[in-house]
Amino acid sequence: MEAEVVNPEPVTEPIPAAKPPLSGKKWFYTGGVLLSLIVLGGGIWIIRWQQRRKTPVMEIQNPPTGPTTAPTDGDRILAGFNPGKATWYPVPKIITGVVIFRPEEDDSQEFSPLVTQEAVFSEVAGFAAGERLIDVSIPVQAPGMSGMVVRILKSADGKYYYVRQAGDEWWESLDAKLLPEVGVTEQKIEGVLSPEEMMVAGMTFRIGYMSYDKFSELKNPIKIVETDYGMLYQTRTKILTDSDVFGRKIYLRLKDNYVVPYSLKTSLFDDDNIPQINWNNNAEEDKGFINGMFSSCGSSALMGSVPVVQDSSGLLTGKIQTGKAKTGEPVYQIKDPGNELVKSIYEQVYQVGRDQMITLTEFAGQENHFLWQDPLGDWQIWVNQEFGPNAECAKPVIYLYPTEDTVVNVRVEANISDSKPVYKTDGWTVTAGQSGKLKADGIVYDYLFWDGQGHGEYPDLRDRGVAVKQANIETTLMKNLMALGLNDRETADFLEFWLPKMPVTPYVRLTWLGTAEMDRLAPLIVSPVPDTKIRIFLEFEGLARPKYLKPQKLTAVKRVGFTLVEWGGLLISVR
Amino acid sequence: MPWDKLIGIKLVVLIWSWYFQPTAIIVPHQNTVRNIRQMFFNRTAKARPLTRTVILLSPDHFSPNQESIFFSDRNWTLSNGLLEYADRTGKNITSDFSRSNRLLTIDHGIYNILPEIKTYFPRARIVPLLVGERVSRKKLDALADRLSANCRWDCLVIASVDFSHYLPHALADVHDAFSLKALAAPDPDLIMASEADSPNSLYVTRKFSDLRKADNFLLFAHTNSAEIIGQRDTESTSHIMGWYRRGRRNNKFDTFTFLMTKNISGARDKPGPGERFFYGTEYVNENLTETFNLIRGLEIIPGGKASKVTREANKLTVNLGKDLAVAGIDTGEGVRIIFLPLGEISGQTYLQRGLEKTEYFDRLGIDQTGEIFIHYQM
Repeated sequence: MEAEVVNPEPVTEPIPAAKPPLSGKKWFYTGGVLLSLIVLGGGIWIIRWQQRRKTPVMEIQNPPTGPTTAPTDGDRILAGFNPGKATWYPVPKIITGVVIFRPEEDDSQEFSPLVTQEAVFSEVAGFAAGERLIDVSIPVQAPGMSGMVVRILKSADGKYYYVRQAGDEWWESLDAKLLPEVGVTEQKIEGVLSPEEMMVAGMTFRIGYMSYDKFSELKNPIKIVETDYGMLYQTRTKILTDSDVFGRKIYLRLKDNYVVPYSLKTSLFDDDNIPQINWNNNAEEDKGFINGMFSSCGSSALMGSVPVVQDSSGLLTGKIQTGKAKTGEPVYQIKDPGNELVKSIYEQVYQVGRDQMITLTEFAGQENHFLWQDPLGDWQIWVNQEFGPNAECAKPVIYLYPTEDTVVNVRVEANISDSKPVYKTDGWTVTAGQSGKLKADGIVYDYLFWDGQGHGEYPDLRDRGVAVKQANIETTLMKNLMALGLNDRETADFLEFWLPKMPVTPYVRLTWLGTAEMDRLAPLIVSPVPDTKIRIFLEFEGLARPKYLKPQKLTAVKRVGFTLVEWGGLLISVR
Repeated sequence: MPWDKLIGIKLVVLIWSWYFQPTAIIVPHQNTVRNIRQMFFNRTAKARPLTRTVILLSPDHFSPNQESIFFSDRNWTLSNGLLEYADRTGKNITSDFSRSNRLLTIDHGIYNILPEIKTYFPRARIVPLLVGERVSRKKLDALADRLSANCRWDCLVIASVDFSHYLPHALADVHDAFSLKALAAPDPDLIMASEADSPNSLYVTRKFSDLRKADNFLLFAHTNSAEIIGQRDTESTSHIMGWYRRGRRNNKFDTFTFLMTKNISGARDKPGPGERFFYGTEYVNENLTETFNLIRGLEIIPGGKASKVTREANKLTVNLGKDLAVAGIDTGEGVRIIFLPLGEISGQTYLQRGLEKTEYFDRLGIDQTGEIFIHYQM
């Protein structure tokens, strides 16, 4: 049924002189609705607020186990402690008998990368009231890290307090490891403070990647400036042989002889890493630049270092201003294809891992890098990500197996860009045990690691070796390593590192460099001289199809007496 | 319109939009899709009346200590302004987490997202967190509880997460179908099996949404880097952008994903296809020994050396040899089947790419993309 529509009588809308905004009724309803909303909202807020107050704080730390009752945080914090000035020991005293960590057999603990049972304690300073400051060096089972250092205080009455610093990245893991009776202090101890940022002499330094190196391990440290926290130093490692390109690192020296890496904050980028540069050609502002010239397995071979050209270098001849930072400082580029720096960026950065490439001349004409003079006077090299490198890997490691505990010194004839433990001016000096465990500065290592460029000639053996099917890589490598005389552990380490880096091509060329070639490429000077030396190095390359190669005869030498074993590898990029 | 009515309508709209506003979102940090991410942020900002606080969760890409949750209490000087730390909320949430301004400053999971937060939520302050890969479930649950107690109507949780990595586009799609299902599923635990760079961040976001009774997952975009550059065979990263809000949970992501091979046993920890090949699918059979016919219209039978594909009217039969893997998504309306040529007949097996794949497909009579769709006859 259709509804009848009745046209209302046309009504001429009276134009009131002034329409009352709301009738009394409307006021009443509107006011009522608003009031109800306010009351309702207020009520909900009060209920929620009370609920929130009642919500217990979630305890997410590991509950302490064992017979000891956990002290509250209040009990743990060292109150009213004013240590005054520390007297720093010229040489740290290694001490034993410090029990601050839970025993290893405590099964209640979750997995922790901290190997606290192998921690080494060194007393480094004393205070007037009898307190002692102790450095605790703890091995770490985590990628890219072998050890760390924390500090504890021993009070005059023999109680231990963990010194918790701002930005303590291991606190959660450490807290789970510390015995409940170990206290905590957040007391700032002058001499071992490392702030996130320091402003000094018009420059800002920001704390860098974490490493726990000692000052004595730095290679030719040069003073930069004295700060409230200690002296800042820089080290410079040549990146390119016979050129003025250096990897520069900055360190703050602490009183207990450890150093903390810092970086010089630049005005070129904001915190979102978008460059603040006005380019002369009005190019897009947000193209990416990297402050690293060489890569190794996805990270800079000179990890934490900044590639710089020193101001006096002839490499800078012919630089052209290409833009201006928002702070007004000019940025430059070298466009001459004959310039050694441009050639280096082309060969050692751009060419790495590329299938199709432009020529050097074309490359030089592109915006592949810029140079900027930093407040330390050096010219920083920033490479356009578009022309950046793909990963290339080279990781030689050295195992030492003496017949008894022996102090061994190892030197490599190479420009070392990265090493663990830190490679000093006189090489590595470690105490090696029969099991192969190496101890340096209280930290235990499985092997010595180095990365860099050998001083000798790299042999061209590309026509030798074997081209194996993708599916047979692992079995072939295992057979090869056995034939070359590596033991199970060394083989496992090698495969763990290199297998994931094999190219995913139908075939892969495997070419081995042996002890003789390695001795020519990067001679090792070892004291005492090993009785047996096995040095192997794998060069590999992805192939689309099988290729005939001159076979290599792989043989092992018998391990007699003090044995040194070294393995490494190099991926030849498809070019 | 009389202003009282206008106020009334605006009030209703405000209450409505406040009630149904997104409480948490998922965004990728890979900048390949920055433009789409900006559009997503724009839509999110429009759907939220007021945002004063943002909690940003990201994978911890660089720390060797993956057992911890790190936070930063610094202010950020960005190319588009200053983004401040939300001090009070931050203190409530991070009371016993480790502070590391250093780690958060260098993590692209954090800094790639900051300019968009500043642009689209200019009044917001931020609490950024790095959630390690091995953080215990207990800690993750505690974090979700704290977020629920401290992140209220004017606060937004953002998970900065990239999804499938290093896979060809077609297989990434299968893994992402599982991730989408997990994001929308009633059980937050399912997300832990998804292929993403931070299942932990997704789990906290999902759990928080659950606690706030805003667990309705809506998808804004699903993208893949290989698709964007037009190279489907290349290793890719995939991205899922979506919201959590109140409302009835939708079931449009209820799919069933599977992956089967004949001869890839034990390859999870070995080179070759690798671990990522398998995880992120519901049904995995690494060594097909019996016929698979759980899915209507599809029968997979252990085959000989080389695979054979037979297609009848509404049925696809695959005699699965040692040269192929078969993955797929059953959507309920049909099944999308993806063929993945494998590179070796015996011993180690690897996933082929490029031209070899085309040869396989030609031989099998399959389209060069390696995909077949079977639509169910309803």
